[in-house]
Amino acid sequence: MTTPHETVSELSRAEVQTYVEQTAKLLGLSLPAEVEPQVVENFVRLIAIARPVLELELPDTIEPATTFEP
Amino acid sequence: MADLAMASLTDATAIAAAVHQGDIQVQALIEATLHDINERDRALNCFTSTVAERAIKRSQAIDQARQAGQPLGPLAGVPFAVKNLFDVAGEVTLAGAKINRQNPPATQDATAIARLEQAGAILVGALNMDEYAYGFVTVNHHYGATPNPHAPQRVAGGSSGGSAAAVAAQLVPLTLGSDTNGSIRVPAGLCGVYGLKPTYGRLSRAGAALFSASLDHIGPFARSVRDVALSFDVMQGADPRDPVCTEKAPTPTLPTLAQGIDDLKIALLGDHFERGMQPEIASAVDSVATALGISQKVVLPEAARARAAAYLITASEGSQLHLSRLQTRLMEFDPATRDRFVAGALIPQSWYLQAQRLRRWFRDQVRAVFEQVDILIAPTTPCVAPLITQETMMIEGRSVLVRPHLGLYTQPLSFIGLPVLSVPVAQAGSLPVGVQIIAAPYQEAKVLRIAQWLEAQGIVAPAAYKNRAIAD
Repeated sequence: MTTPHETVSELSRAEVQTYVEQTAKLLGLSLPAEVEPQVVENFVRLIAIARPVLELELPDTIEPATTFEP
Repeated sequence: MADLAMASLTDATAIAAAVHQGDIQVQALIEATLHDINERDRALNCFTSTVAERAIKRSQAIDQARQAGQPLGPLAGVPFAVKNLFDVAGEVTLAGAKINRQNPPATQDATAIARLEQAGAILVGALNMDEYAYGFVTVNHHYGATPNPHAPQRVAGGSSGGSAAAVAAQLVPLTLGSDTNGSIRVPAGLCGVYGLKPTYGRLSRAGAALFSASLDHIGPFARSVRDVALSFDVMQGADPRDPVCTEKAPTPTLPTLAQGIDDLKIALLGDHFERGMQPEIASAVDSVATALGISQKVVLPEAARARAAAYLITASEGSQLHLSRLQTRLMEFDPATRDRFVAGALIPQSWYLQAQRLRRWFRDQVRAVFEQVDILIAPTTPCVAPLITQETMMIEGRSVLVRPHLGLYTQPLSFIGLPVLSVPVAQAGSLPVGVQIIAAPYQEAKVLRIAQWLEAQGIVAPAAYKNRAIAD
C-alpha cells in the first residue's frame, strides 16, 4: 500500500509546478519566467528532503523545539 | 602581518603578550596589518571593507594606556575581523547582500565585537560570505568568490569563508563567523584553521544578522587552540539583546586547557558519520582516533533525518525572514540563494513543525548518548575543498551536488546545538582536512582540552600557508 508520503514523492513535475505557482501567488511572490523552473526544481528537492522527516513517527508528547518565554 | 619583524607572533595570545611586555607598538602593528590587507587581499578577497580610522584610534589608545601603566585586556592589540553580517557601528551591515547596501549604518557594535574590544582586541574590517549566510562555498555573486588560500582554484568553504580564509592566509589571527548548519566548521576544515561553533545560545548573537534563528550560532576562527579558548571566554555572558542567549554563568575554558584528557571518555561517531567520505578525510579521522586511543564507536539515531529536518527549518525560517525582500526585490538576490529562498517560502507549515518536533526528539536521543561518553569525533566535511566550478561529486557511487553536501557531517550536530570545534589535521601533501570534536551542551571546556592535547602531540595544527597554489 502506498503511504501518504510516497504519494507526495510521486507528484509529477507539472503538479509541483502548479503548487509552486499557486502558493507563490498566495504569498505575494511574483516569479519571472526565468526564475520559476529553478524554483520548481528546488521544491522537487525539498519534497525529497522532507519525506524521511515526515515518515518518522513521533510520540504525540514530543513538542516542537521552538521556545518562547513570556 | 607578513612584513613585520613580528613574524614570530603566530597567534593572538603571542601578540597580546608582546603588547603587555612592551615589545611591540600597537599602532605600528595595526598599520602594518591594514597595509598587508590592502596589498594581499586583492587576490585573497577575504575583506569587503576595513575600518582603518577606528582601528588606528583604538591602537593609539592602547599604546597610551600601556605607557600610562594602566591594565590591558587579555587580547590587547590583537587585530581581528568579522563576517560582514555583524553590526559595526557607523557601517552598513551587508550580510553578503547587494540589497542591504541601502540600509542605514548600524548604530552600535554587535555584542561579540564589543566584548572582544573590551578585552583589548582591535576590529580592522568585515569579511566576505555567502549571501544571507545561505551557502557552503563563499562564491558571492555581488562580492566575488573568496578562494581557498591554499589552492585558489578551490572554494574556501562557507558561509563564513572570508573569516576562515583571512585566518588561514594570516591576514589577521582572529575572526568571527556564524554557523547555522556548518558555516564555521566547513570553511575552518577546508582552510585548515580552528573554528568553534559553541553551544546554541552560549554566545550572544545580538547585532549579528539572523538567517535561521532556531539554528544560528556565532563563534571564532583562530590558528591556535589557546586563541579559540581565550576569545570564547571573553565573549561569554548573558545578553538581554539576544533572546536565546543563555543566562548560565560563564565557564572559562582557558584555565583547564592543559588539564589533560585522561578523565574523558571518547568515542568515534559511526553510521551516518563514517559513510561517504574521501580517503583523505578517513585518514584524518583515523589519525585523530589513533592518537586518542579510541576503541568505542557510537551511533546517533536517525542522524540523516536530523540533517534533513535541519534543512527544512533553515529553508523555512530563512525564507520567511526575507519574504518581503523576495516579494519586492527578487531579482536583486544572488541567483545562488534566490531560487532556494523562494522554494523555502513555499514549505507547508506541517513540514516545518514536524522538523521542529524531530529536533526535540533527536536531542533526547543524543542526550542519552552523552550519559555514556564525554566526547565524540567525526569528520568535518566529506571531501577536501572542491573546485570553485565543481557542481557534483561522487559519494558512495552516486553523483551528488557538491554545495549542499559539504554539510553532511555538520548539520545533524548544529541541529541540536552541540558545541563543536573543527580542528585542522596535519597531513603532509594533502589539502586541509578538518575533524569535529563534539561534546554535550555547555561542555566547550572538554572540547578544547581534547584539541589542546592533540595540538601538543602535533596531530592537529593550522595548515602551513605557502602563499602559492597546491597543484590541483
